[in-house]
Amino acid sequence: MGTYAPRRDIVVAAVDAIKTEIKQKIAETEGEFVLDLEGVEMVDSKGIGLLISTFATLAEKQRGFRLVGTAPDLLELFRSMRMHQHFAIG
Amino acid sequence: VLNWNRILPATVDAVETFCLSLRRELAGSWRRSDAFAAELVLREVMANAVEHGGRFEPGQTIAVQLTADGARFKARVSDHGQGFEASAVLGVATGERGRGLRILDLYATTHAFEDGGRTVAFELPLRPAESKE
Repeated sequence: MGTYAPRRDIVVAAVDAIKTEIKQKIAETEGEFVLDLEGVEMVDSKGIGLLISTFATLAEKQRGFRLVGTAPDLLELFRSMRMHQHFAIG
Repeated sequence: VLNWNRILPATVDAVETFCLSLRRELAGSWRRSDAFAAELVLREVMANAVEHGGRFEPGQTIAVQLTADGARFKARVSDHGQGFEASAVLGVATGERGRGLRILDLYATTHAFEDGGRTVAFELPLRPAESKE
């Protein structure tokens, strides 16, 4: 299993750097990939795009994807954007 | 009560600094979920102004007006770009722009595209601070 915790907001100003870090972590690990959102207060549309593309990348490799440590406001946002239909969010 | 009137460079970094300043300003005085919604929608509208209005060109600016009276948060973001035809974008935008518009629809009670799409105005309801989570 792979785990990665960005520990900062996943927004347009940071999304390229976080994308690089996720890509590296995916390459180093096998099995389910868990993104730990503890300490993440904001995810904008660019960040949502990164989460969805991460899910798609892992799905191509037959690997699961899951979010943990999601703050209540982000949980509500992700559910409203119907992201829970693609991967588990907790 | 909030009353901000700022001119910012049309850059991603300026938007980030502005939004973090707003977060600090609202922390503790607004309900957390109201502050989250205001910052999120503002980020989407400002990012749109930087990307499509400023076109990432140096020297471009965006104007941001924010007011809040305890019951309502109002924002107005203007850029100097070519604007866009809202009716041509709404409902058909995809990718990040489509998601940004979806977020605007989800949280804003009203929104309007003015001056040929160069200004976006929106409002969000605010709940009483005493019922803060």
